[in-house]
Amino acid sequence: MRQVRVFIVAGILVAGFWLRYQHYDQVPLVGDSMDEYSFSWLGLSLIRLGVPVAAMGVGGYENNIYRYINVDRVFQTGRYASPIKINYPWFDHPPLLGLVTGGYAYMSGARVFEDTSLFIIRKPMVIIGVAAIALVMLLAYEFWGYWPAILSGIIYATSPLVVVSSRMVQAENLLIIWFMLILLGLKKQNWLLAGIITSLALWTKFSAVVIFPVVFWQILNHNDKSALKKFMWGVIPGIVLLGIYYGVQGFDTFWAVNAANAGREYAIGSMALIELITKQRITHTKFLTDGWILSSWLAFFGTVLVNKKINLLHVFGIAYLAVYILFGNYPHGWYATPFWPVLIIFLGKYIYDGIIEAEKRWQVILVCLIPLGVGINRLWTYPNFANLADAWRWGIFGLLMAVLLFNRIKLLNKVIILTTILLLVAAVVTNAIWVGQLDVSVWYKVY
Amino acid sequence: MCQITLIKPEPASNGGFFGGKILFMKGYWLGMVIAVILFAGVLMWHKQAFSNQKLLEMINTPTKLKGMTDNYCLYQTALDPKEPNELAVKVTFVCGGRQALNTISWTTVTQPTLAGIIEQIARINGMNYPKMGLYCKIDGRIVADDSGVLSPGNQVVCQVPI
Repeated sequence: MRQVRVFIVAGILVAGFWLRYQHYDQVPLVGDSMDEYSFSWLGLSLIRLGVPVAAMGVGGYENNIYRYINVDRVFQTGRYASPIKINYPWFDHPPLLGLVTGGYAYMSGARVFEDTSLFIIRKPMVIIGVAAIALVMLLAYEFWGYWPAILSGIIYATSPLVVVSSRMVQAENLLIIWFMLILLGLKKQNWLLAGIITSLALWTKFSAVVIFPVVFWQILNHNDKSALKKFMWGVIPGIVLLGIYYGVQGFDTFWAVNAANAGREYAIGSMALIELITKQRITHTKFLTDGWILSSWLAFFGTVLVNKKINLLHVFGIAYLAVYILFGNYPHGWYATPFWPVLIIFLGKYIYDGIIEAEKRWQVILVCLIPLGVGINRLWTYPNFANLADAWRWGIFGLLMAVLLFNRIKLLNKVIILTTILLLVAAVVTNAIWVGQLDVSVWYKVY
Repeated sequence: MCQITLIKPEPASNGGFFGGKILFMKGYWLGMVIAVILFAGVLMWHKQAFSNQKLLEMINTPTKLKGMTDNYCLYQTALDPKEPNELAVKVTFVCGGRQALNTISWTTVTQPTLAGIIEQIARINGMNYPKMGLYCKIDGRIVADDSGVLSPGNQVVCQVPI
């Protein structure tokens, strides 16, 4: 039995890797986000020159150079007109992600900025994406056991929005790893580990401060007097060394950049919350509707509303929402990605409960119908869907009626469970097939 | 007859719970000071590698992976700069029946000569440079050689031998 379980986990990781690796250097498109190159230039320049040099800083920089750096022939895509503004020392974000992708690019032979093609710099992101699947399963396992973990892992591995977003060189994709390790540390009351990983998160992006209220909530819940001290032992070295980094590179520029950052337009506006839930973005302007993410929001709100007590994962979700609303400037897709692992863990648990408990069977049917509908629509767009229309409407009608009327009849109950599981499998498979086929030609049709 | 006397050992100066904790804290802060000194030292030492020349080399050098071409009309960098009033030079290559328009922001121009601009376009688009037999006009004026000086707003048209 143990071997079967390990085999299932390995299968999910392999499938997740395969989906992430398909067309990883083509979708999202070259130039969908110049941040991907900028992060890598930051790392490459730190390694080669000892100074962080990157692009399109928010402001406050004294050293600006304008150049056409035609990496991946981005200036031939017809999307970029003005030259790239290069700034140094670049302080928009801390350097850890840049060191990962820039370091990988350096080891792959990159020496100049034009060498950092997506073919090279997205490879570490694919690996980080697979590590995130493993951590989603581990975290779900710690909270709710094996099968909710497997369900969460399957959805996280195959959700089109997660798959595509995880390929991008964005700090949030690395933050996801740190956040899940911190939550694991906090769950196991390993305060020192949580502190050390928080240091790494702060070296990745300052929005990692979200973890502090989560830590304090957990410490208050456990009434462990030494917890805060142990946590701080882990955090302080990271903060001090980050301070040294900024001090050596130029503290004046650091303050000027942060002052400019603080003055940025609050462009997410008052629609931020509804847009966060209903509009799944890849970048600022590119959308990729994903039924799994919408369903996972429903599961998250469902558990918050139904449960009298909230747990550590709820606290993280709420704290990150608070930080998202506070910091938001533009609604770039990657700002929302740290929600997804936690939301999908809730969805995995929600679906699991729906399968094993007759009273909750509604919830699994409803949350699976959303991604199934999206997946079918993508694979069989109108008029091809006409052939499936009868199966779709009668199938759903029959299932809902059966659950409504016969859920408590034992013999029929097994049929309903089987049908519900088939519904889940169909939702996973349709979305996975579509994202596996997602190449540039399909990407242009996504909006 | 021998008598065994149990003697309670004297506590070591750093022993006991509180002593161990103090020792740990001392070690922690000592480790931190060493880490800070080492880290700052490495950063400052490595920062000495920086020079403007190396930086410009990293920024300006085209990748070796870019397929170079002799065809000056295969690629173009055509869009006008986004900033309003941003000055630019427009260079059109004419290769028989085909044309390629390149709009180069003045902020990027380091050599404001015809040769300098064409070299820059060649670097951006991945074209082999120099190319013999280019016949160029600046704002309709025939230029005898490629040392002609350019200014913002100039329109250059070059006939490329096929």
